Amino acid sequence: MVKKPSCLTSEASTSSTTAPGDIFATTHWTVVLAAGKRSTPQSDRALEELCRTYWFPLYAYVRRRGHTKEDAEDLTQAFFARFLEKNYLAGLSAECGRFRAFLLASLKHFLINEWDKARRQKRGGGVTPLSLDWQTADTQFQIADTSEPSPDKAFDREWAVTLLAQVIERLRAECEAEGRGKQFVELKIFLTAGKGELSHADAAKTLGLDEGAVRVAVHRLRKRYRQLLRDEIAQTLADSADVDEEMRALFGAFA
Amino acid sequence: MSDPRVIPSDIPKCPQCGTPLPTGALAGLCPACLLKQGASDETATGGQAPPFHPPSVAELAPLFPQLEILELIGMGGMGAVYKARQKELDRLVALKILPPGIGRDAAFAGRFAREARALAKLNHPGIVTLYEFGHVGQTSRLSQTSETIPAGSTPQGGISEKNETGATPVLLFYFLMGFVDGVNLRQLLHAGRIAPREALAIVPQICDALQFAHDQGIVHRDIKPENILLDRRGRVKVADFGLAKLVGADVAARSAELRFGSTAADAPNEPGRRPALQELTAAGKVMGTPNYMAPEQVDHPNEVDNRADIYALGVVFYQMLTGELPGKRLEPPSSKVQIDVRLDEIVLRALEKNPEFRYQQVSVLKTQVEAIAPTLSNQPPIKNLKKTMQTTSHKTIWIGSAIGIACVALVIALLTFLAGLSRHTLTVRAFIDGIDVVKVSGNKLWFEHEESALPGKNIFVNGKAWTPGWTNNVSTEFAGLNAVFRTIDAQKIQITKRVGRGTVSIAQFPSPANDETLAVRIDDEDFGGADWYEVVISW
Repeated sequence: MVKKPSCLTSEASTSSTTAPGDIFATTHWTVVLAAGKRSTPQSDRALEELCRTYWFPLYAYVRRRGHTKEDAEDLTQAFFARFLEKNYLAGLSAECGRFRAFLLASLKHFLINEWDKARRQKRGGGVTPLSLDWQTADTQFQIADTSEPSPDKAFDREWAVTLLAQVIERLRAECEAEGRGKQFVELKIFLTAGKGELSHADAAKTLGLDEGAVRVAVHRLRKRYRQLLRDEIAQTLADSADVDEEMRALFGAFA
Repeated sequence: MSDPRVIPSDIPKCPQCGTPLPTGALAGLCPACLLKQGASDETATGGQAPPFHPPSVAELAPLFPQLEILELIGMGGMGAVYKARQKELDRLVALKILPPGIGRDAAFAGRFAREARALAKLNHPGIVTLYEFGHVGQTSRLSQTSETIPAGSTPQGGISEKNETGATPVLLFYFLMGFVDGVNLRQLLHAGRIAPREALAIVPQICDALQFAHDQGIVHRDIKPENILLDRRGRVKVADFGLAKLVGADVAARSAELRFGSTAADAPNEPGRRPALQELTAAGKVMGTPNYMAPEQVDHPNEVDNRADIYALGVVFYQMLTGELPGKRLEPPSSKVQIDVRLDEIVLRALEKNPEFRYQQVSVLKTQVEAIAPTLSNQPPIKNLKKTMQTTSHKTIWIGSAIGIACVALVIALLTFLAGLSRHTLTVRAFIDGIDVVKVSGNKLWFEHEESALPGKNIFVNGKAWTPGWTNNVSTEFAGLNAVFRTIDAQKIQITKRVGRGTVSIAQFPSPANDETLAVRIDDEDFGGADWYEVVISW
């Protein structure tokens, strides 16, 4: 069996990412794990990239735990400052296969053990804070704050939304680049529906195409979407074989 | 969803599942539904092993400033090959990169250099010249770029910069080789059976190249049609010497680990356990096509000698003569096609399971082939092949190869003709844009549009237009058709694609072993887009 990587050894992640046929696959998260304690400019950038993408779910979690807007901002920022410090990644091995689980476990750890300490220090502890968009965050949070799921569930939901937004944005950019921006706008709704659930005829009329062409375009959009989604999820995993499981876990957050 | 009472009415909800819709990039799209559709089992890869993803030309360019990388010309388990131009010398070269997953251990670099030095000494007109070798740094994709690598089901790391910091120890090993402007034998085989006379012109050249290498103690280990190149003058050049040894060791270890759940070291030689060939292929094509591997190479990959190459050449020879791979029960080529029985002897001896019974030197095989060659008459002379090859454009030479088209046209015409007479071939031809499925059971034939804009009029069955009208699942019963797939050996299903005025085979697989309904699914995107496709089923 393929060994699950244990955190923070450079050998660990390589064994799981080099399955035959998978030889070009390297994800952000495996880069971070591979670097381990001896972080490199590449792994720092990979980690920052991940954090920059997935910080909002953390903020949502902290808010859901009952902190005020201001406190939650401080807390999230302080957490990231600590998190991005070298050597902080040590000590959490069970969740390291998934960046999502790892980040949440780290945050919980931080909230329990380090919040007070961190609070006494200057904000950010002397480390340059990530530049995060708090204004939008609060609006976004209020919209998200509608059905009061548990903080953990809120975290997963927001994670999924963030991830999907990333994917849809990439898809949009790709379509735009190929001159199919208008098509994307009209057809993206098909991504949320199963085959045959939406009529191609209306979209065909709007786009001035025949129905067959729309059918094909939808099929291709779906296919590309699924690919990008899998890619994006894999970026956060140590073993890309876990994509399906991670997808189920995220879907579960909406159940 | 939990308690809906607390959802403020002004927040839009998904009409399908009631999840509140987020703002931002997802505006109007329901995350739950998106995930549900994203997880739908009709995934991009159909559950197969993720394909090999070579880096794009643009990604590779910064790593090789001395080259102008022109295009990707081939890929396989052993890496990818690009056509490039050496700027200084203004000479065309082939740049072969090994899969970056290979060679993570420090020892590989040493092994690579040793092997490459040995290969560089293989200076022979029948062997692709090695100009240069080495490695460049590869880092994983670290910044968002607009570049995307040809996608598969798994994420790919790209190549972003030349790694001079030495920070990420992932290296990209490469060979710079002579560029052969021509076709490979696989492509010729696709075009149909090669005339015995042509085979007899090709085989001795392969023998020369192999003997030269064997004399220097180098075994190819992966002789197969893809590695036998023919330039525009019909001269043979053997490629990828010794690569299987370099790449194979690395991959075999990992395959073994994956397949057998044991450690890398003990699996390949585990006593009493001989992995099935299919297992080896499934575990990693990187090892080469098992069909061409000598039995001893499967059992003890580390102990092969020149006679493994002779076996592989035997398989190639057999395939050139009969158009088929030798079956489990080895039948002489003359039982399949009309050829000189003396060729049987040569081929069967090369294919002896026990290396002791094979030719011990490939030069002996050559001598015997050459003894037969002049006595073969009434076959098209080899110079025709050369001539037709010279007139084709080099980029699409294999597709456009006149001989290929001629052969295929002949074969198709013949198949179509035969289909009318015999019950053993069914040819369904259609313009496919999207995904269509051809289904056969008994005397019934379906044509299903899974995702397609196909107007129903463009379907031909055994050459006759079939106009079932535009419905989603059309089926009809054919009097002459009686497709009961019971025995395995002679059956195969082939998907060919229209190219120019001819067709080329783009996929081939065995038909089911029982009398279930046969379904052949064609997704045009797997084969380069909307086009005329043909499914040829013979049994």
